[in-house]
Amino acid sequence: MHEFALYGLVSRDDHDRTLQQLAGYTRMQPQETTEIHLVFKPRKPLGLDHLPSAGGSQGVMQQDVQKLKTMLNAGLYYMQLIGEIVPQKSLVTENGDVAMSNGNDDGKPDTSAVRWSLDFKDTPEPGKQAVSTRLVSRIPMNDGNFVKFLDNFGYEYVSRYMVVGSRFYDHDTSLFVHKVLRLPQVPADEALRDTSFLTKTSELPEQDGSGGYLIQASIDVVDGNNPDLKDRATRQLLALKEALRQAVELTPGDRLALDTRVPLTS
Amino acid sequence: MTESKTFTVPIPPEGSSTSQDLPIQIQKIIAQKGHFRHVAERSLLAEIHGKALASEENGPRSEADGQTNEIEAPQELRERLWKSREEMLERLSYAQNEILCALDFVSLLISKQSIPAQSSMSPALKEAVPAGTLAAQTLKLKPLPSSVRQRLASTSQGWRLESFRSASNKLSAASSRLKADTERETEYWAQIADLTASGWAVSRLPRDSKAIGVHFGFPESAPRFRDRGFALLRQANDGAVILDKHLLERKRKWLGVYVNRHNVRTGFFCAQKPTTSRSRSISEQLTEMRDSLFEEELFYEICREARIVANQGVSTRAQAVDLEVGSGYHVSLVFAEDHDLETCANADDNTIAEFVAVSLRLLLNAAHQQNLIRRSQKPPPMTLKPRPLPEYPLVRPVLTHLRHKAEATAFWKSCQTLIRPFLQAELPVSIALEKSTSHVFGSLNMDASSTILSEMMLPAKAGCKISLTGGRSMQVGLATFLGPPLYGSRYETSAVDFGFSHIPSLRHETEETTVSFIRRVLLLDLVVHVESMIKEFNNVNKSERGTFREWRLAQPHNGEFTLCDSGEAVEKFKVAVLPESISIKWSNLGKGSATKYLIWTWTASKCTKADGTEVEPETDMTFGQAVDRILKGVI
Repeated sequence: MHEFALYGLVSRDDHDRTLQQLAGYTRMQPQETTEIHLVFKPRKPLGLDHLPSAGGSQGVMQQDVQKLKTMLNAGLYYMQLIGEIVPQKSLVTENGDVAMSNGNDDGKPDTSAVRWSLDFKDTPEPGKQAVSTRLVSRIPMNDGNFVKFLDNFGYEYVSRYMVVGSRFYDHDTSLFVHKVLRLPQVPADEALRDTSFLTKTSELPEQDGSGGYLIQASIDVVDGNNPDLKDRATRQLLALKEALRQAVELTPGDRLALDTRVPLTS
Repeated sequence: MTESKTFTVPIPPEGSSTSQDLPIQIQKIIAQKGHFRHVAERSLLAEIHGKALASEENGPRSEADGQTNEIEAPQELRERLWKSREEMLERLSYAQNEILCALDFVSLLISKQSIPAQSSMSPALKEAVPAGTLAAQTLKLKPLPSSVRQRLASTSQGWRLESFRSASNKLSAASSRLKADTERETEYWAQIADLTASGWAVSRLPRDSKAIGVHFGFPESAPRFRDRGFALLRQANDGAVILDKHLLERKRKWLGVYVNRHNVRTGFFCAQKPTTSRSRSISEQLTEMRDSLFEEELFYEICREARIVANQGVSTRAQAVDLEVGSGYHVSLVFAEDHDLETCANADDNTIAEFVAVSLRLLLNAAHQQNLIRRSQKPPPMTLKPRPLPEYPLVRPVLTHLRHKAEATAFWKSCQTLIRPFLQAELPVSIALEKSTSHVFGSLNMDASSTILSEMMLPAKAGCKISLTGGRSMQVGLATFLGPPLYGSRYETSAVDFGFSHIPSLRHETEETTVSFIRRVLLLDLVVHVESMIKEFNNVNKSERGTFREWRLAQPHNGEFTLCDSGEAVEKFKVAVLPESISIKWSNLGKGSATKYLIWTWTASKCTKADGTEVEPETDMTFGQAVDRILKGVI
């Protein structure tokens, strides 16, 4: 699956107005979304250190070793485990205390209220393009020990953060106005279960101190290499960009800022 | 002319402000110093001397002037000089020509009196005009008479008045026009404010910033209907808001529902009678347009759906869709401008027509709601295939319920017919409707959508409970659904255990098979009932009779009992459950004597006893008594 996307910025003062404009444009009410993002980093392949380092006197071996090293090191990408909070009736209570006691007393309802999925995003395709294109994959995770699964897969937990925002849908396009909140860092095992912060989302520190929001307009396409689909998705996004020109400026994202690769270490 | 040759013409100093044009300079000179004819050599000399005195006082400036003159190259100066000379000669010849013309004129004038004057006339003039033909006379200025002066004064005053009046008229006309404009605009905006207040969504067009339009359509309809739900609000001459004429002149069509039984119309319902009066408020016009758009969409969607359920007895024609409910009973949905409004006598069928009409409209609204819910969810990834627009469930739920009702009614009637003889025979068998149908069709659980009327999209279910003898009971369920997995009606019966035979939970496809199955269950139940009676009888009478002579259940599935005497059958009786009656047929097998037989029959209303030769009613006889008599052998 490929994702075609355009990105923009919404300042805090403009946030309400933008939401209203988008609601009018898409003829729907915003869908409030809360997501927990757990970041996983691939481990370095074992035995990499045993390879002779560059700059030795074995000039003949040098090239092969270098090649092998790049092969082992390249193509390592961060993965994310995204937990979307599914609003439940019990959570939506007027009294905050009730919801909190719900979270503390029995651990069961809260875990079931989070819909987990394993998310992989490639680095956007190079070249000057009208919209950012990249390969994405999202696998729903229903049951099991996710951290152990990823550990066996060669991924280790790094950190977590939260994304809150509003979603809009217009034909094939999803519009997501969101901001990133920092979460208290806990060990991997607890990161999945710990959802106590959900009741006090407003107190969490923001990543962007100005309180601004990001807006992402994206279209998921089954096969991004198909020229017809690519053309259609691009056209739709550009039409959206043109329609929202007065409200918010949408541009392709900076490729290096969207890079998901683990930096090369030698 | 000779004097002019001695003129010393000063060359004006170069400067951006001073014009080089000679006539202009001459004009300037005349304005400054008077006419040339007053300029004499002496006065010029005197002026030059005076200037020289003055220029000595500010010497440095003249020096500067001299310097600027010196800066110019002598070649250029000469050229400029020549050019000025040429120009001046041209002017002089022009002036000479003028002077000659004047001389001609004066000569001609005085040639009448003096002959010498003729000599100074130019030859051309002499040829053209004879001498002495022009006379001159001095006229005295005559004062205008006062009457004329007065008339002139009053005329001019009149003209002035006239112009004032016309200006005033023009201004007042402009003012009244502006006033009318204000009123028009006020009226227009007031009406638009009224529209907004009454809930219509009024907006500007993105393309044309001047136009104002109103949305009257349904935002969730299919695109082709959604786009039509918008009309421009135009301004009439008196400021009233009007709609485009072509929108109003469209023919309004409405969906009417007819119920036909055996080709006779027995029921009719049409939601709204279209009004045709011209003078209506804009809000009413919009309401009518909205309604007619809704009706059109409704019929369009019904036709679209009718195509996919064509295999279920739904036929489509150009302006009508027929729903075949069954047994010569069909519902027509007719889309036409005017309907046959004659009311039909059958109140029940009118109610059915109303039910169908109202349900269809509510279902379309529910489909709109469903569209909004679907649109508010994450869209699936884009593919090459265009996303299908699913048909709305409109006809299917309605037809499901109509069919279900017909089927359930027929089934209930058959069951009643089946049970009535049992009541006559005073057997403890009864049938009752049940609200809850959860124990049958447990497998047929569908997810109801969260829209209004979601219940109606589910399969229609009904159930009844047949209470049998000995505390046994059986549930019968009926479910109707036009879609998968049923594609029609289906019956399910719960499991019953009769001891000698266990009947599992079963499914039946038609009413006939279900009724015959129930008949069979009732027969088996009777058999068990009789068997228990025999057991009881045997227990009571064990001491009196020998064990060798005993009634036994011979063929349970045929309901046959035999009386065995020393291992040999001597008498038998058979219970039977027929569609409208139950019977006991007793016969002795005629060992040694003539065969005798006796039949009791219970129908819904009476009990009869048939005896080889004659039939006689036995009103009070019950099944229990009959069996008792057989067992005791008192026949």
